[in-house]
Amino acid sequence: MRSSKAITLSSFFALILCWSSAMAGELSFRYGVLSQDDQNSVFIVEQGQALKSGDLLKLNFEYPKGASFYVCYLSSADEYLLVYSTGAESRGLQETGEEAEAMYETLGWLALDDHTGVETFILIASTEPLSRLEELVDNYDQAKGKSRKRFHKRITQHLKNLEDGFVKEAGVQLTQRLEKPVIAGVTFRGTTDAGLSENTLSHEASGQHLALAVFEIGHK
Amino acid sequence: MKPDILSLRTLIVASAVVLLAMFELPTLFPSAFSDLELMTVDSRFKLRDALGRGPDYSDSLVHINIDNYTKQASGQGLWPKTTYAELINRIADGGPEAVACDIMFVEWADTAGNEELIEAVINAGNIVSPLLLALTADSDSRLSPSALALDINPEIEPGNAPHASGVRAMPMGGIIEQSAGLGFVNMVPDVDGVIRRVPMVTEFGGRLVPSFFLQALATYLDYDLEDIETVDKSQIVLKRFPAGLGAAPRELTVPLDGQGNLIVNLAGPLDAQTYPQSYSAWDLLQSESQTDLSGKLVFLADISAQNSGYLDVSPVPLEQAFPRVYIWSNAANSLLKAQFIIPIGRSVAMIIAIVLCALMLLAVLKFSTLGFSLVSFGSMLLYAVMVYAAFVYSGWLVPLLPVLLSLVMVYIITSLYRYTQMERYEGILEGSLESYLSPTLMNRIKDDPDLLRLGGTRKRITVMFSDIVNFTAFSDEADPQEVQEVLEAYFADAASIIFAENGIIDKYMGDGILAFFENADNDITSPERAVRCALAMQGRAAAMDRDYRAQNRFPFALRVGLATGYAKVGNIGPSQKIDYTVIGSVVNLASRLQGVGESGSIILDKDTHFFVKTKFQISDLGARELKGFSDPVEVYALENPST
Repeated sequence: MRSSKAITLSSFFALILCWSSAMAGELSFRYGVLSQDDQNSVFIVEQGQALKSGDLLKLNFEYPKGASFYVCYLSSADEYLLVYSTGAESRGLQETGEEAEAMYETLGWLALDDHTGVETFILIASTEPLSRLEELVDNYDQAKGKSRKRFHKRITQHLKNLEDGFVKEAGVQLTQRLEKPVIAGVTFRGTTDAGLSENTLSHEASGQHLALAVFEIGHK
Repeated sequence: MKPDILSLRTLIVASAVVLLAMFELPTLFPSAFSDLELMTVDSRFKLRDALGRGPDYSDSLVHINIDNYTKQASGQGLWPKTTYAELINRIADGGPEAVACDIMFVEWADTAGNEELIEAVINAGNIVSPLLLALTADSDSRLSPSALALDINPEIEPGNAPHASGVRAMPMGGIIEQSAGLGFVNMVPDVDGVIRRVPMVTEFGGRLVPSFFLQALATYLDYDLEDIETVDKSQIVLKRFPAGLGAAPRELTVPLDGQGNLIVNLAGPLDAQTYPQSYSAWDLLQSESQTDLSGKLVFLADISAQNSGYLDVSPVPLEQAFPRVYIWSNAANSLLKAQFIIPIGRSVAMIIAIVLCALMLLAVLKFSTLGFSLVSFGSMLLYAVMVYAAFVYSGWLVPLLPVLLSLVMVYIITSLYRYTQMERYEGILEGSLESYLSPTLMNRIKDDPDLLRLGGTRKRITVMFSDIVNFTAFSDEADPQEVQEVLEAYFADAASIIFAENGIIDKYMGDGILAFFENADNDITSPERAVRCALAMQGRAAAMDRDYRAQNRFPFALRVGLATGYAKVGNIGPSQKIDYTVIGSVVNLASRLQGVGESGSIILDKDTHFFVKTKFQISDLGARELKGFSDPVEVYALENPST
């Protein structure tokens, strides 16, 4: 009795939160990081969770159509890689107040290499293209030697600035785990009882003009 | 020296005032004092260089110079950017660890070659580019650190480093973007225009911006600027700073000048011996073989005469025209070798000055003028030698002039004080002695203080012995007050007369006076002066006699005896009671001659007669038996002595 009351209250506050976010013209995206156990069963990788070399990893994400979306990967070898970018394809977010069409993407299954450390994914959705970030990463890709190290620092600083701006704008870090994982590609806010699949999304990040999530995996 | 005539408190207060004034004067009149002090600094550099005590120059540092030869050989005064690109590519082929390119490729209407240049910078991947900041106090900045990609630099507390308010000049955007680092190339010359120091870091928009040489080193050593700790403007700590490429990191504390500047520890003037790894860019461009630059930090600059107008050459302590890029490399060398010029603060100099002043004050109290002067000038000389030695052997830059001028001023003030006190003391002494000594003797003592020493010298003198006739009977009958008045009047007049003839009153003996007259060198004048003195005294006695007779009191007359001969003259007697007196038979003879004469007479001995016989009327009284003399003594009398 008491637990069902608590569920009702939490659902109510969740609805209030979703409603207020929608009223504020909020930008949000959902993502999920999945892996497989020894029985090839899919499971959700939690923030900071440790995986070992050879483990499979899959990053799913879903963002509003028209928004710019980027996945920046910082490997355990301390190398940056822009693994996903809408680039010039994004046309700008449609702020209609109606439910926006969602774009679902995945990086597919990847196997962790032998280099251990922290694997970091920075997922960013923005109402405007982040051309500076793209430029820095492009330069980073072609730079050599010590210039490349400088670009590394500059990318780090740029991401930090984005994150700081995101936090400052939102007031708090608006990245949360979804109450229940959802299967991507059904509806943007929809949930399903079908359980986990390869297209599961487990987390949501939101912000005003930019939403950002940093996901770290311990690579043992 | 009488210590008690100098007040220690006055000396300390005066010295303290002088010290404070001398240490504050450079602040009040910086240009006047700084120029002199800076000249001494340069002389220390030159002395150290002459002694071969300069720092070693690291073999990790290489210079590629676009020099006059390069410009002439290339046949181009102004190089196209493609040539610079080619040069950078050739340097990069040598595999240097970093290239500090002290050439600013600014944004320009002519964009030809920009692409090649930027491509060369990208290919090199280790180019450090220069930046010219506005090191002014105002905080107006139109460019933020992020616009120059300096927002990756660590944050810095304002006040811990010189503040930069903006950017005066910067490379083109592509160079800024692709460089491995940016360092500012501002140098702040001293008031005489000589470059002796370079800023280490500056604060721009809350970010630490390293100086060109520091950024070059950081790129060369893969040193993280986050490890720089700016303690204050007098020191900066480089944590985990490697001693060289691949060397173990250690904490390096860099001494600064209090304004955030590193004093450049110049290895020497620009010559091939000091900087052996200096190459002409043209040779590199023309070389068919690849120059091995691996593990090197290359400084690339245009040091040609055509470029000197762009202030790439400056005076330094060792040379009037020194390429600035070598100033940067010398600064880098200081950090690599951990060999610094250590500026010693004014507070330490003040303490040294206080100690030396205390020594001088001790000397002024304990020693004679000569001793005091020796100690004072010895202290100054010792300090100057120590200052130079400290620089040559330890790199300590100790302020010279504030201390030296303070010591000189303290010496002058103390000497003046000592002199005035001595004069005052001598005045008091002279006033006291004048009551006892004749002016002649006083003057002679002033001229020759050795006269005050115990002992006498044998010399020819004329002794005068005078006595008041029948004074014993008078003093027995008369009132003592009257006796005293008569004696005081007589002695006062007699003393004046004796002193007028440069005579010395040896002593008063009851109513008698023993006086003597000395001779200067070989000129025998004492007999004549003694006779004139005796005549004047008899004249005065005659006048007194007339006065006393008119008052119906008593007759007043003198008997005077004069004898000339050798006697011992000087300070004679036990140490408790010394008299400047005469000893010899001539004294006894004068006394006996006085006894021979009648009332109002002046009796002379043979020697006195000999010297004055042509100048006075003298009668021969023949030989007389005198008490104490075995043989009869020839006696003479002056005629008409009382007229």
